[in-house]
Amino acid sequence: MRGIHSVFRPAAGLAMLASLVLGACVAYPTITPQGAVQQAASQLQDAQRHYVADYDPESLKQARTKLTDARKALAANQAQRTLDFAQEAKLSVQLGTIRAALARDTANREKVQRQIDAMKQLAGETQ
Amino acid sequence: MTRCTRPCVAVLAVSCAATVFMLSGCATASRWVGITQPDPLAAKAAAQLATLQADPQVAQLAPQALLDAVDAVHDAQHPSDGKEHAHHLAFVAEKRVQIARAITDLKTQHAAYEALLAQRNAMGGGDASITTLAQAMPAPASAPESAPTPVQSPPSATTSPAESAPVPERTPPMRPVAPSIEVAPSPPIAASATGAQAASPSAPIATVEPGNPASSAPAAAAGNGALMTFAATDFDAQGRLASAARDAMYDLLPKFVRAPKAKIVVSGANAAHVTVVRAQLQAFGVPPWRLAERHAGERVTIFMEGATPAP
Repeated sequence: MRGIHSVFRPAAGLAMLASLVLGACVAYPTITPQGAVQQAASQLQDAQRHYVADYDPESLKQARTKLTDARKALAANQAQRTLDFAQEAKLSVQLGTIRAALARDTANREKVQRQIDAMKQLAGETQ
Repeated sequence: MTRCTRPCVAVLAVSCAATVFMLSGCATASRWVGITQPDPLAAKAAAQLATLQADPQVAQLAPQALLDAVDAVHDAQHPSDGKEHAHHLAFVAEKRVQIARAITDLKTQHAAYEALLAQRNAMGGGDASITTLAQAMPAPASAPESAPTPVQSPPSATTSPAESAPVPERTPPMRPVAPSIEVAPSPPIAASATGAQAASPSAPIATVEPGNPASSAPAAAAGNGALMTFAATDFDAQGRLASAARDAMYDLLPKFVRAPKAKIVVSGANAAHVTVVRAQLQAFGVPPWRLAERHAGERVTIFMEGATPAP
C-alpha cells in the first residue's frame, strides 16, 4: 500500500504535467516557414490580379517588401524571422483588400446616387 | 501523513513550476531572463486602439477584429525575443487596428449603399428606368443595351436581384484624381471619346471573410476637361454617331445631366455632327430647351443650360 502511494502520486504529477504541455502545444498551430511564404505569395498574387493595387497601392507595396524580406530570411534559414515577415505580408494584403472593397462600395454608392439624381431630374423635366 | 508525502510534494511542486513556465510560454520566461523593451510603434498602435475602442460602431460591426487588435496590442506591449520580434509585434498590432477600422468603415459604407439601392429601386427600378425615360422621346436609334455585370458584394451583405450594374466602372484610386469617365464594358471604344478607356471586366474584391474580390480598371479624364470629345472619326459615312460612342454617351448621361460643369465637345467645325450629338442627347431624354452651345473656332461645346462649363 505504501509502495503504491509512493509511485502513484509522482506519476499523477507527471501525467498532469504531460497533459498541460500537450494542451499548450495544441494552442500553437504549426506552419512551416516555406508554407507561410507560399501562403503570403499566393494572397499577394490574388490581390494583384484583382486590381487591389489600384485602390491601395501602399499596402500592396508594403506586402511585396515584406514578402521579399521573408524570402531572404528563408534563404538564410531564419525560421522565426521568415514566419514574422510572412505574417506581416499577409496582414498588409488583407488590409489592402478590405480598403479596395471599401473604395468599390463608395464608388457604387456614388454611382447609385447619381442615378437617383438623374432620374429625379429627368422625371421632373418630362412632367 | 505517509512517508512519501515529502518527495511527492517536491515532485508536484517542480512539475507545477515547470507547467507555469510552459503555459505562459517562453515569453514570460525569457522576460524574466532578459527584458525586451516594447517597440515605439507599439505605443502608437495602443493610441490608435484607444481611439478605436471609443467608437461604439467598431464593437458592433467588427467585434472579432477589435478583439484581435486588443490581443495584438497587448502582445506588442509585452514583447520578448529581442528587438526584431518586438518590432514585428508592434507592426502586427498596428495592422490589426487598421483592419478593424477598415472593416467598420466597409460595413458602414455598404449599409449606406444598400439603402440607396432600395431608394433607387423604389423610384421605379435600376438603370432600365433611365432607358425607359429616354426611349419615351422619338429616337433615331435605340438606346444601347449594356451587358449586365453581376456586382459581387461581401458575403455578409444582401444583394438585390435588380442590382446588376450594366457598366463595370473603373473607379479612381484613393488619391485625388481628375474627373473620371465611365465607359461601356464592351466593346472597347475605338478611336472615339478622347480620353476614355475600355473598362476591364470587374472581379470581386475579397473582404475579411473568404469572398470574391471585385474591381475594375480606372479611366483617364479627357485632356480638355470635357466628359466626351467627338471628332470626325466618331461618325460613320452617313454622318451618324458610331455605336461605341453612343454607348459611352449613354453611360455618361447621368453625369452630364447632374454635374454643373459637365460638357461635351464636338470638334471639326461640322454643324451636322453637332446636330447629331444634340439629337442623341434628346433621344436619351434630355429636353432640347436645356441644351446650350458655345462655339469657339472649330470646337462646339454642348452643356446643360444653367451650367457654367470651364472654357
